[in-house]
Amino acid sequence: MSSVKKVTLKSSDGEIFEVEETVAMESQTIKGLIEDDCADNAIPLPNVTGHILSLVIQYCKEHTSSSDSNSSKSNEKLKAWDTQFINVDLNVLFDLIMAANYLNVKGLLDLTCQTVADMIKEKTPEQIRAMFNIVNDFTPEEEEEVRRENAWAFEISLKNNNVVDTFEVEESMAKELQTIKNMIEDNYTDSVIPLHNVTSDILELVIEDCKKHVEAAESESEPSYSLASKLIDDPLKA
Amino acid sequence: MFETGSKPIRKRSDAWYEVESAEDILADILSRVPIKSLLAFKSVSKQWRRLIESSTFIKLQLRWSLEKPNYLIYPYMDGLVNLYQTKGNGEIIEKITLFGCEDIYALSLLCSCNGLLCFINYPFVPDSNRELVYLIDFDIRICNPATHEVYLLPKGSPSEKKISIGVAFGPKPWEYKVFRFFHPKYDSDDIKCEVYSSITGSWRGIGDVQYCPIGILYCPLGSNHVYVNGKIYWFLPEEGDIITPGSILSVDIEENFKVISLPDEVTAHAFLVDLEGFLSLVAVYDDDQVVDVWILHDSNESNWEKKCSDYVPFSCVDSINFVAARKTEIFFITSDQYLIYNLDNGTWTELDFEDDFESNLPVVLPYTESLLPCEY
Repeated sequence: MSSVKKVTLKSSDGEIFEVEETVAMESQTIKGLIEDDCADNAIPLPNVTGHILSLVIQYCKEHTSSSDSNSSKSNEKLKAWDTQFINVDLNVLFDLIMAANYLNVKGLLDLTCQTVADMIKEKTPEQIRAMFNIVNDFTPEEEEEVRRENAWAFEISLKNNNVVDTFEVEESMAKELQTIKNMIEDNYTDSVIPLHNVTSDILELVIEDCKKHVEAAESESEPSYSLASKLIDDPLKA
Repeated sequence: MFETGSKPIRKRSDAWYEVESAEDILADILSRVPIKSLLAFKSVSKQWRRLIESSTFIKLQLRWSLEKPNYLIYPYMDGLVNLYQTKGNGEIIEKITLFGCEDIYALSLLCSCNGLLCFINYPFVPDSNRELVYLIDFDIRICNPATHEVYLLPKGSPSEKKISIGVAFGPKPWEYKVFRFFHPKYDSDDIKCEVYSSITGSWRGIGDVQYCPIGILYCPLGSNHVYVNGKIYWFLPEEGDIITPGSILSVDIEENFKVISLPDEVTAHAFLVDLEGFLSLVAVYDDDQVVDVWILHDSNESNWEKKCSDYVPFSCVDSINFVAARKTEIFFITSDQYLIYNLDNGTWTELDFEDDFESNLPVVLPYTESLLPCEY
C-alpha cells in the first residue's frame, strides 16, 4: 500500500489538522506553499479558526474525491451535498467566505458568495442594514435623492404563484392593507410578498382600491373602503 | 490580502465588518444580485452606493451576467413595451414593462447586447386615411430594461429613401456606435453613412459608401443585422432582388467595411445570429424543409464551416418569423410555434408559453442584465 502524502495545517487557535496533499491543494494558497517547498512542517493559518478550517477541509475532501475518476459522485449529488453543507448560520457563512478567499478555494468562494447573494436579493435596504449592522451614513435628503433616482426599484412586489401577475406597488399603498403594513413595519417581510390566498383578479381590484384611498387621502376628501378590500383584509389577517 | 481602506462602520459581529472592508468580496457577492435589488441597495450606505456605481463593479457584474444569458421575448404591441424574460424552458421568469413609450405608435426590437436593447419605430404607420404608410426614417432608442432607462438618439441627416441601421457595442463596455445608411437624394443611387457614438453623443458623417444593407422592411420584423465579436454584419441584397440575401456586409468598430460572400445560395429565410462569439448563418430551405447552420471562423476570409444540417419540424417554412441564438441553441419563432434547436445533440424542443403573453408577431433575442447606461 503506497503511503499518501499528507500536509499538516495549524489553525489560528492552535488546532492541528492532517490532510492528504491532494485535498489540501484544493486551496491555491496551500498549493503554492507546497510547490515552493515551504510545507515540510505545519503550515500556520493565522486567519482561520479550527472550526472554520475543519469545514473548509470537509469541503475540499468532498470536492477532491469527486474529481477522482473512480468516484461515482454525480454532479447532482455534489450539488445536494453543497446545499446541505452551506446551511449554516450567517456568522459561520461569513467566516467561510473569508477563509475561502484567504485560502483561495475557488469553488467554496463561489458557493458562499452565491449563497449570500441569494439570501439578500429580495431584502429591503432596511433589512440589509439590520442584517449586517450597517450604519446609514446618508442624510435624509441624500437618501431621498438616491431613492428618487430609481423609485421603481423600491416598490414592493405582491405576487401570487404566477410570476407574470406580480404587482409592483408603492409602499404607501401596500400599507393600506393592515396585514401587509404590519409585516413591513416589523421588518418581517422582503420586498417580494407572496399572497397565496388571493387571486390576481381580486388583487388587482384591491390595489386599485388602495390607490384611490391614497389619492383621496392626499386630496383630503373622505375615502371609503370598498367591499373588495374589506373581504381581502380578513383572509390575509390569518 | 484584505483591503482595510474603509473605516469601521460596524459595531458588532466582526465577521461582516471584515467582509465589508474587503470590498472585492462584497463586489463578488453583489455582482450576483439582480439589478433591481442593486438599484435599491444603493441606499444602504455611501460605500455600497459608491461600489455599485463604480465602473469596475459594472464590468464585474456584466462578466457574471454574460455567463448566464436568457432569452427576451417581445410581442409587438402598440404603446406598450412588455418584455418577457425566459430561460428557454417555456417558463417566464420575469416580465418587464418599459415606461416612457406610451405615445409611440409601435416599436420594433432590433438587437440586444450587454444588456442594452435597440428599438426603432415599426416601419409603417397609419396616415390620416388609416392607410399604412412606410416610414423613411425612424426614431432610434437604446434602452436598458434592467435599469428602465430609455434614451432617444438625436435625429440623423435627412434621407429621401429608406434608411438602414446597425448597432455595434464596444470596445469599452459602455461604448456603442450606431451606423446609419441614408440616401441624400431621391433620384440618385448615392448612399452615405454616418455614425453615432455614445461617447460624443452626436452623429458624424463618414462619407459615401458602396453598399446599403437590405432594408428593414424585407427582413424578419425589422431586424436585419447582428453584432458579433467586434463587428456588425448585415445582409446585402442579391443583384436585382431586394429581399434575397446575396452577400454579407461587415463593419468593425473602427469603421472598416468589408464584403463577405455567402457559403451557399440562400432563400429569403436566412438569418444571421451570434453562435458562441462567431457569426452564424441559419439558412432554411423551403423546398427541402431543411435548415443549414454555418459558422464563419475567420471574418477576414469567407471561411465558412457547415456546422450542421437538419430537417425542420415545422410544415410551412413561410411562417418563420424570427430566429435568435444563445450558447449552442437556436430559437425559432414561427407563426404558431416556439422551438429550440440544440446544436449539440441535434434535438428540437417545442416551448409552450400558454397564455403568458399575446402572441403577436413576437421576436426573441438573447439577453443578460447589466448596469450599463444608455446615455452618457
